[in-house]
Amino acid sequence: MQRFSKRRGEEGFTLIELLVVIVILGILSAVVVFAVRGTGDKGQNAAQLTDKRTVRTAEESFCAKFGQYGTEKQLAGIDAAPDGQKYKFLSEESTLTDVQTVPGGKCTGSGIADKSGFITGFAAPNGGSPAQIDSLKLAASGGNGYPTPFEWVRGPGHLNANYMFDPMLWKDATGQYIPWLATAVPTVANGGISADYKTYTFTLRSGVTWQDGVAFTANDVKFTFDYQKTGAATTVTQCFCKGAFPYINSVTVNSPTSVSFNLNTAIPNTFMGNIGTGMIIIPEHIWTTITTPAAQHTSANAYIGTGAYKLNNPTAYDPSTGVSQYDAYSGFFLGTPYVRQLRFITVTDSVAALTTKAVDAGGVGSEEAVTDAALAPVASLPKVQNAGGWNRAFHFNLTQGFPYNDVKFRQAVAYTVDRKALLQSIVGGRGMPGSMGNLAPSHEMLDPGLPAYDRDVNKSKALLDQLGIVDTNADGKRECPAANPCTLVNTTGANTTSVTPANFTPNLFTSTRFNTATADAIKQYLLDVGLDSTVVGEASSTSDARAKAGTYGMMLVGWGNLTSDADQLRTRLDHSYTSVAANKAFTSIYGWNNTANATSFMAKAQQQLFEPDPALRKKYVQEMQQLVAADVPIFTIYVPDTILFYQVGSLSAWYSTPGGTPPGPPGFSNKHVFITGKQFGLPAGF
Amino acid sequence: MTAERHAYAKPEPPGGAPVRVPRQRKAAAQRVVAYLVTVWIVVTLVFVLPRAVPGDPLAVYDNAEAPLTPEARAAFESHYHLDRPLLAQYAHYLRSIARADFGDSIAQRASVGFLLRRRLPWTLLLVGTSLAVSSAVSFAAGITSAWRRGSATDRRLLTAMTMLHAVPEYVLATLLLILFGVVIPIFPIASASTPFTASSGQLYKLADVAFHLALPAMALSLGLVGTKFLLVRNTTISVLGQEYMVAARAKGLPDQLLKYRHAGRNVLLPFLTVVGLQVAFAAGGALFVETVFGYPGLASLMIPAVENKDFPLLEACFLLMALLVLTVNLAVDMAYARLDPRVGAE
Repeated sequence: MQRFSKRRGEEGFTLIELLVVIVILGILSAVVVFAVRGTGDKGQNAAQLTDKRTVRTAEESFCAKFGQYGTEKQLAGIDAAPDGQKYKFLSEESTLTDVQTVPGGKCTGSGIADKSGFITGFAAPNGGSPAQIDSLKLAASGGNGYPTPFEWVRGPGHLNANYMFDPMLWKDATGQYIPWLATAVPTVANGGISADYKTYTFTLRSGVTWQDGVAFTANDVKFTFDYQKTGAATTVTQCFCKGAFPYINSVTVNSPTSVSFNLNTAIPNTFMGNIGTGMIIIPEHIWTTITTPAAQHTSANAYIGTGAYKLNNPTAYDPSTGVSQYDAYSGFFLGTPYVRQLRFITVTDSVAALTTKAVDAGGVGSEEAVTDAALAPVASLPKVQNAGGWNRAFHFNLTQGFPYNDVKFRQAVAYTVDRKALLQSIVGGRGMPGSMGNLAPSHEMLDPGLPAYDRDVNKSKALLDQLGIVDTNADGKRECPAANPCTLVNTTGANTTSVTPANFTPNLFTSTRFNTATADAIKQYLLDVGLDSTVVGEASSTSDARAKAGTYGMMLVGWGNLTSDADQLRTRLDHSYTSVAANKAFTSIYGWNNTANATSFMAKAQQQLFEPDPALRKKYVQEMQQLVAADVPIFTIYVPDTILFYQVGSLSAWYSTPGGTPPGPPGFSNKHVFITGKQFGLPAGF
Repeated sequence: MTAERHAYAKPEPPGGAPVRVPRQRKAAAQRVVAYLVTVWIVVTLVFVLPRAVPGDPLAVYDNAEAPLTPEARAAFESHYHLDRPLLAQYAHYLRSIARADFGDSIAQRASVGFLLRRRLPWTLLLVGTSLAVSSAVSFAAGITSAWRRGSATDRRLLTAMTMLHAVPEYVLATLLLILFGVVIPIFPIASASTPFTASSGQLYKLADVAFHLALPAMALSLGLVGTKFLLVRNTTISVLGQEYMVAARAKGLPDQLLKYRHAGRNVLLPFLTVVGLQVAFAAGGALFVETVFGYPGLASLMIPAVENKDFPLLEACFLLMALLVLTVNLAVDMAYARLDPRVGAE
């Protein structure tokens, strides 16, 4: 052996050894190229940061002395201060050479800003935001279709389309409607709404142009309505406007800047959401010849709106990743947007992406076990935490018969579940336990005096005993009464019944898209009172279809419009509505028409729908919640907060819209904040 | 072990060659037929299984606020052929395979071809790189380890490789991501390239792709290296004990020649088989690794497609993966026959 190995040094390398070396060198060189490439930037950033602090101190001193900010030359003692003297607040000129007027702040006058417009950290027009933002990097959400008017998918897709398109009204951080393409929100007082709530007239902005330069007029609004109601887009679901269509006879163009909607029935509480904000206006001159609206994404014309942003390179848009760049449209009718460019990039973990500064802001998953330890890396970042609208709810299908159709059974189930403990363990306490009235705890029409159904095992057991669902064979698990067999809803929909001596073993369905620990915990809670349930986890498409079809007795469903208009209670729970095939949704509750409370609920649901007086409507809505809380056809387990962390020096006016940007759940991607850079109102001058 | 089993067996008499070629061809033809049958079974399974799962592919169009109307549902069902009987759907599906056109994805609202063209190259790059790197490393390390059997190097390599063999790819991927993406932020943690870069130098783009590939490829390579290392080491050890190795050593051949030319060449056969088999593992592992790193490969199409019961996309993805694995294995089978003439003759 030794004799051979002496000669090893003379042999050179084999091909494989060379290959390994080449691969390693390749990886190393990639590392070095990028590591070195960033070093220069890092050095510059550090220098700028020091500069900013120095300049900020100098500006604060200047402001304290003269009541206004100084220019760079004034601070450096090159130009005279307002009193004619020269002062050296800075030892030399800073590297922050761009000088511009500081809007807001303690003092007035010109201040110093760096190239991105970051005003040395104190003169804050928006509580610390820069004067403008050149580019904002956010997480892309894939699977939301194309951002064209008829090819978006789900709420996030609708928000994407709204970067390029506009409805007549929008919402800001107050959650109230604000004028958008219209100059004012129509009210009875300003004559926009007729006294009988059957005519809505919108006055539109003049001088608005589509992104291809053609003028926007009232004809486009009428065209959009006709195209959606009777035209090529009749069967396309891409419009949150369609709920109002049965009540609208026609749309009349009064003048190029005025358009009226003529109704056959007054719907004072849903019209604005459906038509004002839910209907994005499309250009007549482009869509009038298009007969297949849902297949236009390859045409650049399909992306032309009146909106603040233009999608960069639409033909390269990949809907499965959502990675995209939106550039500001300089001809936008509210002026150039505050955020000049929106970039949506791939993010697999928000906390990691925030830590590495890959994104400027990022939300944290609402229903994961978000522990303090997991959030530690971003704990130092500023954040916005708002009451949310997404909830995990416990649905009963009353049409499946006994015991689901019995109030006592549903109450017994509600009494076993410790909703506060689940909020703590699953959502880390960041949120609220659900209200038994099935509105968000933060909803303006919430009835705060509802019964809480705090966990009470004895009460639950007593209710089950009354139903005859008792443990006859002392195995700790309950059986159903022989005279009254229980329905077992199985996975295939072929139901069986359960009678003594077999234990009552109902399925508890849930989607695996959401935290299955919640379902497991509830299984344990039910076991505490002797109900031996089986958790059935299914993929979201299976689960959503099951919830919609009603092939369940008990099911955990997650959905997100608990903060939207209170009419949601009607469209979710009113049997006369949900029993119509076309109205069935995966949030629907079926068969709640077997008690006096249910009948009363349906009557109140109609009253609130057509009641124009907000105070009276609130009374009806609160009574509806009391009826829900009494009969428990559904109960909300928890409503997690929405949380967003953002980088210092980036956009800071973030908010999640109360009631949701129309009409989805509250999210942070409201275009209003990107366009105005603030939480309330329109840019100055509008 | 008989003397005939090693590669330095006497060449067959010249008269044997004309007899063997047709037999080899016949064996190859049998393999191709078996391959085609397997492909048909896969094609059918890919059609049947997703449809056996309960659920609604059109659920993605359903909003609580704007439920899918019956008219809209009918329109979509007719567009995606969901309203036809299963057999007609199957016939349509076979035709679409023949035309290599799977139509439109239901949930993504884009043509399946468009989505695949964008995603498949990334998966191929990741799987290809990982297989190449892990094969090179495991081959060299395996032979070295066997050559120095019992030494400290061997023990260390053996321990490390056995551990890597045991740890799943996604654990390795997560560890690498945390270590080199967050704690020591050298590498990017998501995506396959820097989006929206204005600079368009080819060299820069290449470096950018390599840079983004480093962590996912490392994770997948580490997941693949253990199996092959152990195989190479064990085979080499058994080869080293062969008589022809003793003879070669007795001739005074240098170590490198003994290691790679004499021992390595005989290890190559079982090694190649495992590499072929590993294409399947690599493709499967790539799904996990891609998910962890947000790498825009097939995983980002397949996982939502399964979630949404997006039949056209799901069928195309699974079929593609299956064909990839089958084709590589067929190729390995064929290559095997070339590398070792005895295989074809049997």
